[in-house]
Amino acid sequence: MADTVKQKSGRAQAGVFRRVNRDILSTLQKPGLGWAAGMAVVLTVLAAGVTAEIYQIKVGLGVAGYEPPVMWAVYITNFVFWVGIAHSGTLISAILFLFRAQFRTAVYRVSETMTVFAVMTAGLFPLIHLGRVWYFYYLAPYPNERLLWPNFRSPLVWDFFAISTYFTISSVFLYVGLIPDIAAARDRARTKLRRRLYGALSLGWQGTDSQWRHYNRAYLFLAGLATPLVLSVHSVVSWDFAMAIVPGWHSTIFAPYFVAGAIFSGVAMVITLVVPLRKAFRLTDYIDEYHLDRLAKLLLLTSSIVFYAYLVEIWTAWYSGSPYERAIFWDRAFGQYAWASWIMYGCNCIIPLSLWFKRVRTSWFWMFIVSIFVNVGMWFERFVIIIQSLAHEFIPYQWDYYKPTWVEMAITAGSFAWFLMWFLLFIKFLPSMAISELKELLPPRLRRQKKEMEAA
Amino acid sequence: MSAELMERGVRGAFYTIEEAGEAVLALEKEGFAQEDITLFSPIPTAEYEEHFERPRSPVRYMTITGGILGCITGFVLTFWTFFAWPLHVGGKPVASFPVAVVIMFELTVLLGGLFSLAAVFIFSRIPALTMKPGYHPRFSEDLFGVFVHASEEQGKRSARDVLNRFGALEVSDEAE
Amino acid sequence: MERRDFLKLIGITGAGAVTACDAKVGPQSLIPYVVPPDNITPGIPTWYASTCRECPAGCGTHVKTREGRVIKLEGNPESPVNRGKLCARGQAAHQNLYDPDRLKGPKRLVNGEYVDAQWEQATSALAAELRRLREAGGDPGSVVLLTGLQTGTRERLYDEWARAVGARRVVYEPFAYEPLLEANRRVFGESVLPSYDIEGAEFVISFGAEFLETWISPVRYAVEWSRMHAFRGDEAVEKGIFVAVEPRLSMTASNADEWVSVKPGTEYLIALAMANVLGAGGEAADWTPRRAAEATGVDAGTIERLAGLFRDKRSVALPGGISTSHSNATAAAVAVNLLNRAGGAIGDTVRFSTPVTGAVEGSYRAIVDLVAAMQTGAVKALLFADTNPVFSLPPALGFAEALRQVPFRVSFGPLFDETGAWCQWLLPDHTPLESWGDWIPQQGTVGIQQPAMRPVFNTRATPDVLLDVWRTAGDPAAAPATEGGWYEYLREAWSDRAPDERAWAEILRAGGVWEGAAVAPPAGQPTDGANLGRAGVGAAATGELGSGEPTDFAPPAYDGPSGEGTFDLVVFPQIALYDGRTANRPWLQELPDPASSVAWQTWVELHPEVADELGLVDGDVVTVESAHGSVQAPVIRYPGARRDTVALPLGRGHDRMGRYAAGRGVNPIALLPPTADSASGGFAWQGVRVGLTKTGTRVDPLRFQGSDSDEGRDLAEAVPMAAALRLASGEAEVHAEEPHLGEDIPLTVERVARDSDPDGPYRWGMAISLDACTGCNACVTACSAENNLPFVGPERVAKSRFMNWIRIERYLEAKPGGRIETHHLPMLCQHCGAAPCEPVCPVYATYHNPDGLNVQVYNRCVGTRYCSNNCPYKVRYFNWFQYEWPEPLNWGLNPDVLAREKGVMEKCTYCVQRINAAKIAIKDQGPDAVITEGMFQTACQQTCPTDAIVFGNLKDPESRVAKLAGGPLAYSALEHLNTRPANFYLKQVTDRSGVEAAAAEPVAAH
Repeated sequence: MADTVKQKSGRAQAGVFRRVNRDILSTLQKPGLGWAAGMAVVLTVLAAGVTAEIYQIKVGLGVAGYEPPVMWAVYITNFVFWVGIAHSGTLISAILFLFRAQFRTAVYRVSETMTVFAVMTAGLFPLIHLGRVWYFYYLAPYPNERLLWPNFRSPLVWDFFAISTYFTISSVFLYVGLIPDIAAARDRARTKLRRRLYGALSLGWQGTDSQWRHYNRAYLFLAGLATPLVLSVHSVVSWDFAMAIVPGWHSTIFAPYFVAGAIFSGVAMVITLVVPLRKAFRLTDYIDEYHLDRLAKLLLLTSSIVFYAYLVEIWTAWYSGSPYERAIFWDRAFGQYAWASWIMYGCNCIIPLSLWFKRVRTSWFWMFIVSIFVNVGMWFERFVIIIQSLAHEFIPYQWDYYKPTWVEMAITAGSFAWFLMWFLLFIKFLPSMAISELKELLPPRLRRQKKEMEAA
Repeated sequence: MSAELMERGVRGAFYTIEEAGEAVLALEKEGFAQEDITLFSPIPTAEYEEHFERPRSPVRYMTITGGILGCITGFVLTFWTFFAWPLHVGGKPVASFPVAVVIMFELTVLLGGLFSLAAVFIFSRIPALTMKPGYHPRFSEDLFGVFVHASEEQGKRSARDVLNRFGALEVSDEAE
Repeated sequence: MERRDFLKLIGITGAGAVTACDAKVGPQSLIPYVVPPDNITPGIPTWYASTCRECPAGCGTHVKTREGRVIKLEGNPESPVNRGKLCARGQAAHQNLYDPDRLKGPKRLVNGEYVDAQWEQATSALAAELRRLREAGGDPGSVVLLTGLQTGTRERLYDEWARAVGARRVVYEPFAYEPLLEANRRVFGESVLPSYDIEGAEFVISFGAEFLETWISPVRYAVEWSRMHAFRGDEAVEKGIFVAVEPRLSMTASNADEWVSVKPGTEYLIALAMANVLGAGGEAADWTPRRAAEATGVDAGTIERLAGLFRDKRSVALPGGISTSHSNATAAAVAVNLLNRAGGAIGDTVRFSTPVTGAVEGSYRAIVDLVAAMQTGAVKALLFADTNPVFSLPPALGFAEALRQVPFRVSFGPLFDETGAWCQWLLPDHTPLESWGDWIPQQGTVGIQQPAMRPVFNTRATPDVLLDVWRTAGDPAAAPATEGGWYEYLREAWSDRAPDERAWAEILRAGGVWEGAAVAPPAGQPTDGANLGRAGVGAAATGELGSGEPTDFAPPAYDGPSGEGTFDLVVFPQIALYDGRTANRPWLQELPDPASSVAWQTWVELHPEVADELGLVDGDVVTVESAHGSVQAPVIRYPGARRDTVALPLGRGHDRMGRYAAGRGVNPIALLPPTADSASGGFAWQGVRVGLTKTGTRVDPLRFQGSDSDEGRDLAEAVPMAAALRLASGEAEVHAEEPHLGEDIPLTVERVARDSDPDGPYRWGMAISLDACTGCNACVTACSAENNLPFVGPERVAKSRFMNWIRIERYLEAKPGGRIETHHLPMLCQHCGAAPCEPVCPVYATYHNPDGLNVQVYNRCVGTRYCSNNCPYKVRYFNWFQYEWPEPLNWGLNPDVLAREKGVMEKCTYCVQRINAAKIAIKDQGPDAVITEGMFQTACQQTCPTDAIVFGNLKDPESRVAKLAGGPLAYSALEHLNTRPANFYLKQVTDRSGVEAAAAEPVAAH
């Protein structure tokens, strides 16, 4: 009798497991028309961006809209934006892993890949913005007969180390997580080519107890290493500004402020990507309102941190009594760039307030809208911090107004295309959800399904 | 153990990790050596590690080695370059520790991570060109497998008994 | 030959020019090489003394050549005119020499097209025509040689030539200052320009004389003004006062301690009233301060106060220049003369003993007559030498149309300018740097002019052409004095001063014959009027005038209706473009105007409130319309403009002349009627009323200045004279005045001097006196020439991507009583001890070298531009593009300085190449030889007419810079950032006449 119960539940579990494999791996089927069309668009935009960049290298950086004293502009804005996007990935996969947050399993694969591709995108911009990009390797500490080393005092060199480390570690983290799932894909592969491909990628993974044992330890340590990394990378990025003397940059609040902002924008981007994804691949049972609600709460939390940071910034400026700081923030609110500032305040502080309502938090449509607003808002946050501060510095003789040119716009659009290109490739060729972990911690709807099967 | 031992054995498939786990323990009681028993699982078996009383994974040593190595590299790299060609910038001292800290930290994480990856590869014997015997595609899908090396008939029999006792769906001789 | 081939050829031979010499120029052209050519070591510059010919002032120059190429001009310290200094125009003179748009050789007009010609062909054609005309027995007026102002031997040649070939010489100079001559004739019976001793005066009042910009001899007067006015805190001696009476806050007025803004055309009434207060009778008698006050809108109290100052101090009053010459200009000048006489300035600060060049008697009248003659067809041939009347005369005069009546027209201009476009023959003259000549800036001073390099193009010295023509076409009876060419002619003219070659060589070395040297004034020079002054003073007592005729002090005639919506038009010359002759020099086109800080553009200066009423912002294009024409230009709001005026700058609006000048801006002369000042016949530049209409289009205002106000940031500090004196005399504590923003870190020279190699002997630094700086921008052009700074062009200036390593920031400060205080703040790399730019560079492309310089390593720079973001002074400039130097402009590049590649950052280097040259120079004096004061100067310091910039070694306590920087007025810009700048600024000294103190009294009482 007891046996049969056990048998029943066992059969039920097996059924659910099979379904998980079937559903997730079905995303790897031959690309449909929609996918192909999307890819075509993405590649076209990317081509435009590449053309613009080649033109810029040939003619000179002047083809961008730089207007001294605004020496950094949209390129660095994009850099910080993409690095920010990269953050939620590791946060969700590493930190929430350490905290054993259940809702993570469904979304962490997507956000991890997002991390890797976002870093790949971000990494382009420091190069694009160089005056002599053909000497970019001067920034790397490579041994040379002249004993010329980079200046380790420069936050840009810290960036170089932080970003490359972050890229390596997050790729490793992503790949290690993928191995068992690729193995699963291998075992389900129908064509010879796929079997070969996934066979190679899965490195002959069999899921034996000893493999799992080492795997789990390593995964834990990677998570442990990645956690401080997440916090450090955007701190370092923020020091590009905080270490400078520029009023509006030179502030100790920047590191936490940027990290929060990064996670804020990152989570928003996760939502932006997941919403269409679950529809397109019919994964609604895996990502449901439960996950959405959790993400929304994360969004709300970080949003309020950012809001607080904005207020503190303004207060510090006033309290410091420095006319330069004060001028910056007055100009930010009411000066030439007020339009950008108010987009930023609106999108990052006001609109997310709607997340106090569960109705909004659990509505796919509204969350998608909100996430888009947050993405825009966070892009403008960087725009305002970088450009408005530079445009309004110590010497009134050197105040100016910067407008981007078509080159910058094309390259910016190109960067989004670049990111989406990788993402589209990924969802078609690799399991976009952690099969093995989903089985370990079944999402609510599948748990319900299992119950039903047991009852039957 | 010798090659021809490897070729032979008994495999049982289970619905749940619980059943498979108990089967493994029972087999050990039966006197099968730990390294003769292999458990295949489609899900991480974290909970069962202590259960099986296996030695803790040595991955951690690799990680810490990598970390320390990275930290030292960071320190040496920065301070050596400070003095290799002392250049004055911003009226600051030629060498400064806070600057080195950033680099040291980043390299600690970097090498720590890479060493951990290496550790997985080394200890989990991947990349592996040949599959271990007793594997079945469904072990990456819905079933848990237990494979026992047993060359002589008597051992096989006892293994079959144990596996059946713990409700294996099917028990088969593996002799490819 | 193709242009390019030709340039290539020149490129090859150019270097060899020092040794090579062709028959045309003759071996004599090698005289300047006092050492044999084969001794010329490549890499070692050769200097030639010469005379600047960019304006009639005739400053002495030293021309620096490298491998046979002119690369830089510097003032000749021996010249009594400019005492080693040059203005921006002088600094850019070799961009005239290397102008890519120069005529490459003689051309003739063949059915509507200019075709290359040969010099022989050209000269013979010219000779044939003149001979024909002479033998046809036309009256001597039928052939006219129209030249600009000339002195010395060239003038003599022109006159003799004209006489010999039966031609008439007409002298036309746009800025001829006839009214001044006429007024002097009337008051003192001498039709000359006296030399005004500004240096010796304690109180200088200018009635619209832009003497720091373009008036007569700007460099000379700038030097004198700074010696009279600049208070550097090194000695506790009260300095002089300067008051400007002008309708517009010009650069000159912006340096005045008090700008008396008057209704255009009424300046002279102030002078009259002052003279009246000083008891001058006659004309001045009935102009009481009260009456003048009504007419001018300046309150009587001010007039009396100024008169008091004039009486109590050793004073001089300067009569008006272009921007105040109305139809009553002579009367205005007479009024100033009366004031000078009543104040006893004549013979004291106004000296007729050494008259100066710069004015031409009856210049405009002559042109008017000429036009009449042309219209009747009486003029058969017209030859233009160094003048461009078609551009500088009002179209309403109809000069160009009249030219149609002249069958034979020849231009000697080196450029194909507006006048050249009317000529059948273009016979390009050498530029001054390629030609022989001499110039008499003032009596007793003769500057020599010698070629510094072989002609760049196939041009020919006009005197040579004239001599050839003379020989063939001239009256055989009056053959030229010499068989040879222009050089022999000149040499002959100098034979009495330089009988032998040694004396000649000495003169060439010195660059001329200076004051004191016993020199018989060459022909045509006014006689010594030394005792005239006393006579004048005597006359003042009786109130009679020097000459009989009475002067009518009626207000000027205004052209056009007055009333709602109309403004008085003020046209003014810009310091960079003078009368427009220098408009094709890119460096000068890109030089921001000191007042409005606009470049490359003609702008309409409007008072901000007026602009608001009309709803106009910077860049709004308006149509300025008078009865005689209309121009369209963008508005620039300028608080220094009067509400009842609009001001337009002269010098732009060429439609020919070259790529940098043509189609750039508009020419406000189009608005002017051909009115003349009745008394002197001089052209009345002012007195037109115009209307403004908004066109609705908007262009980028090409303005360097971001914000007019320093937003109370006190970047350019100032102290009242009283306080400054207390500080200088040690009565007051240096840091007593209210502390700086944030924490006040007293920054001492000693501290800054430590920011270099402790064992090294140097820490270079600067002391920049804001009280001396006039904002004239000479340093900017000097820096461009020394350091190969590219010009970026209007499109890039619009994006403020200009590359001036040193810039003059101009801040306007509103003071009580509607006064405007102008601060000129030279801003360049501060070479900070704790430079924020250095640590942020990821590749060590900028670092601190043992001399304490903040060094930029171009080859290492990757262009992250982080350094520029982190520079609080914003003095780093980025190469956004690969900036090109069209051939042959690139010949002028300084071989000691790298021309930067696209994508790298650059900035002021403290002329590190000069520092290193000095180090090399002292190498052979042993290992511990040290560069001493004055062994070299930075380019900006060298040319600064007012010595506002003092450069030197802060580690040497005896050095001038250390003394000044340690002085009571020294402060550091943005000191509270603790960047420890090596540049110390010396505060501007204000309120010398105590006006503000007085005004503040009652406030203090409450």
